Amino acid sequence: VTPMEPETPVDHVWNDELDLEPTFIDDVWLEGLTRFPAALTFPISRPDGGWRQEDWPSTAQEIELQVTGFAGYGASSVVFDVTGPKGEKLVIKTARREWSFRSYIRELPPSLSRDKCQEPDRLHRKLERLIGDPMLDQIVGTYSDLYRSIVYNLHDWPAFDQIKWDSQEATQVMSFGVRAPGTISKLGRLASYPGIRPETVAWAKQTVDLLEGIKIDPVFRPEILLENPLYIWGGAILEKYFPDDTTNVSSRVRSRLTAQPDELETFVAQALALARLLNQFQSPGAESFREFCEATCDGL
Amino acid sequence: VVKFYGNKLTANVCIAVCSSTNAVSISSARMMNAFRSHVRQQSRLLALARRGAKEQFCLNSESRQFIRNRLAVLQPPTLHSPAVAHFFRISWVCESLRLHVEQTFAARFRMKQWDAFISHASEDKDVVVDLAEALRGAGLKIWLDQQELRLGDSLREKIDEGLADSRFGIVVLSPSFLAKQWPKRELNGLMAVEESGRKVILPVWHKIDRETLLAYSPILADRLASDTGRGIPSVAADIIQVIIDPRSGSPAVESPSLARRFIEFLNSAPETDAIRKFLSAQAAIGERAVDGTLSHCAAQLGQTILDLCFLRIEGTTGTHKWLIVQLDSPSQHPFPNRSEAAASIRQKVADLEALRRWVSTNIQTARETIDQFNPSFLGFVVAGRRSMLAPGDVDVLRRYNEELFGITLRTYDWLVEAAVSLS
Repeated sequence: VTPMEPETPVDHVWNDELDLEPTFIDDVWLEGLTRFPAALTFPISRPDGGWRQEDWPSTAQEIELQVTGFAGYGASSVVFDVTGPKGEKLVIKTARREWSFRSYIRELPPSLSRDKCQEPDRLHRKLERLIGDPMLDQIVGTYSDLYRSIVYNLHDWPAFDQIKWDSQEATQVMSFGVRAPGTISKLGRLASYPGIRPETVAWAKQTVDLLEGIKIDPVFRPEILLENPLYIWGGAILEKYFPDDTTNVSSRVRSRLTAQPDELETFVAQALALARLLNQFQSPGAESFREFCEATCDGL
Repeated sequence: VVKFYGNKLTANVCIAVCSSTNAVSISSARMMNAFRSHVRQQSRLLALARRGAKEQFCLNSESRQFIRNRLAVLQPPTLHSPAVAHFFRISWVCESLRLHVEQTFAARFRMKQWDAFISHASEDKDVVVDLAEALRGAGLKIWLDQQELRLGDSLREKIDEGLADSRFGIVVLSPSFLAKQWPKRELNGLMAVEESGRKVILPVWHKIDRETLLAYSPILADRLASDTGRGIPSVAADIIQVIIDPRSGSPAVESPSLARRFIEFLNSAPETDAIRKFLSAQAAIGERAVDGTLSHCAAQLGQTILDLCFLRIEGTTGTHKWLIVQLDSPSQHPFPNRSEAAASIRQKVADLEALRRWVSTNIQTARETIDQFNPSFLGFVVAGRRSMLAPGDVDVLRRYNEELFGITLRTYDWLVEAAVSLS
C-alpha cells in the first residue's frame, strides 16, 4: 500500500484518545487470583523497588512464584504480590494489556500458569460464547492494535477514495480491513470521546459514512466477522492460549466451519485477509495466526 | 413545666417547678427510690431522642409528638405523705435531685458505645476473632481489644471495664480461661453481674464441658451457655438473638448502626425498588462495595434499566470505569435447583450482556444518556443471602462466576459487609 502524500502532522489529542482507550480489566476476577503458581521469566523487584537480580538467573529462565494477592493496576501495569522460591515477599508487574482478554474470559493462559492441566473444554466453551461478542475487537490486544493502526493510517492519509493500492488483492484486503467492525467501532468511539476537537469528530463521522459507501468484494461480508470461528479462536491463539494443542484446536474449529457451509467461503476469506493485514502491519503473533488459519483451512 | 434535654440524662427528670417554699425534711434514700423507677420509665424516651438526633440531627415531628404524649401520661413519683409531695414540688429540691441523679446514674443510663465486649483468654484468640467477625457481620458493635485476660488480671475489673462501654459481656469459658486460676468468688460472682436488673454476661463454652466447669464453679456450670462445638455461626446466632431483642437496650436496638439498619431492612424481604431507594439514599454502602461513586440510579440504556451505576475514575489515566449493580430479591435463593442460577438472575445477567453489546455498537447514543460511558463496565448481580447457600452451593456460585464475562453474581452479604466496614 502506497500513501499518496506525505504524512500530515499527528493530531495529538486524537492520538491520545486511541492510546488511552480503556482496556478491559476485571479487577474482581484479579482479586480472586490468589495462590496460583506462576511461571515467569523477567526481572523481579522487591516491594521497595530494590533490584536483586544477582539472586536470579541471568538468562531468561522460569522462576516459580506463588501469587498471593492482587496489588492493583494502573495505566499500563497490573501488579501482584508474590512469594519467591525462598519465601521472599515480592511484587510482579505485568503489562496491563495482557490482562484484557484473560480477565474478560476469566482464564489464565498456560504460559503464565504452572498448572498445565487446565480444562480445555471449559476454554472452548467460553470461546463459543464469545461468538458475536463485539468486545473481542478490544480485548485481543493484537486485533485492537490492528484497528488502531488502520484508523491512524486513515487519518494520516488523504481521503480514502484517493488512495491507490498496489494490487487488486491489496485493495480487497484493505477494503475489508477498513470495513471491519473493529475499525468502525473505533471511529465511533473517537467521534463521541469528550474533549476531542470538533474537526476530529467531524472527520471520524465523515470517514464512517465514506467507508460504508465503498464497494467491497461480497465474499468478505465484514458484518459477520465476529461470527467467524477462525477470528474467535485465532484471537485466543494470539493471546497465547493452546500453545501445544493447535492440532486439536484446528480440528475443532474446522468442524465448526464445515457445520456452516453457507458462510464457509466467507470465513476462510476473512481469515486469510486478516492474516495478510496482521502481516502488513507487522503485528506480533501474525505468523502463529497465519499458521493456525492455514492448518485449519487446509483441505476445506 | 417539663423540660426535655435531648440526649442528656437530664431528660430523665421532669422538673416540676413550684412557688412553694415549705421545707420538709425527707430521707434522700426514699426520694431516690422513687426517682429510680421514674428514670427507668423514661429511658426509652431518651433512646428515641438519641436515635432521632442521630439520624436527622433533630427530632422529627412524629418523634416529638410521641414524646409529648408519653410525658403527658407520666405521673410524678408517688410519695407517701402530702408533706413529702409538697416538698417534691419545691424547685430547689428538684434541681438538687437533678444533679444527684446525673451524678449517680449518668454512667449507668447513658447509651453504651458497644453492643458487647468479648472477654477471653489470650490463648483463645483465634476462635474469638472468628466470633467477633461473625457478630460484626450482623452489624453489631463488638469490642475486642484489651479484653484479653492474662495471668494476674482481675477478672471483675476486666468485666467492669468492659461493661463501662458495652451493653453485654461475652465471656469465653475454656480450659485456658480456667487455667488463669481466678478466685472462686470472682468466678461464681461472674454470672451475678447485672445492670438495672438485667443480665449482662453471656457465657460461651469453648472446648469445655459441664463436668469440667462444675469443678470450678457450679453457678457457671448451671448457666445456659452457647458452645463453640456447634460451630461459630451457631454461637453467633445465639448471641445476636439476645443482643437484638427489642427489650435488650443495646445500641443495636436503641441506636442501630447503618449496617444493622440495612440488615433489618433486608430481613423485611423488601422489593428491589425499595432496595434501590435505600441504597441510593445510603450511597456509601454501594460505593464502598464497588470502590466507585454513585453516578446514576434507575437510568435506562438501550433496553436495560441500570439499578445503580457507579463511576471509578482511574487515577493515572483519568479514564472512566463503570460499575453497574443490578438488584434481585434478597429472599431469592441464587441456585434453587442446586445447579442452575435462578431464572431472574440469568435474566439480569443476560440483560447486562445485551447492554454490553448494545453499547459497543451504539456508543454515541449511550453517551448521550451517560457521559463517557463505555462497554468495558463491570457488572454485578446481587441476589439472596449467604446463609441460604449450602456448602456445595458456594462451589456452584464460584463456578458460575468463573463462566461469566465481566459480570459477577454476589449475595447481599457483599453489601452488608460494606455497610459493616462503614459502621
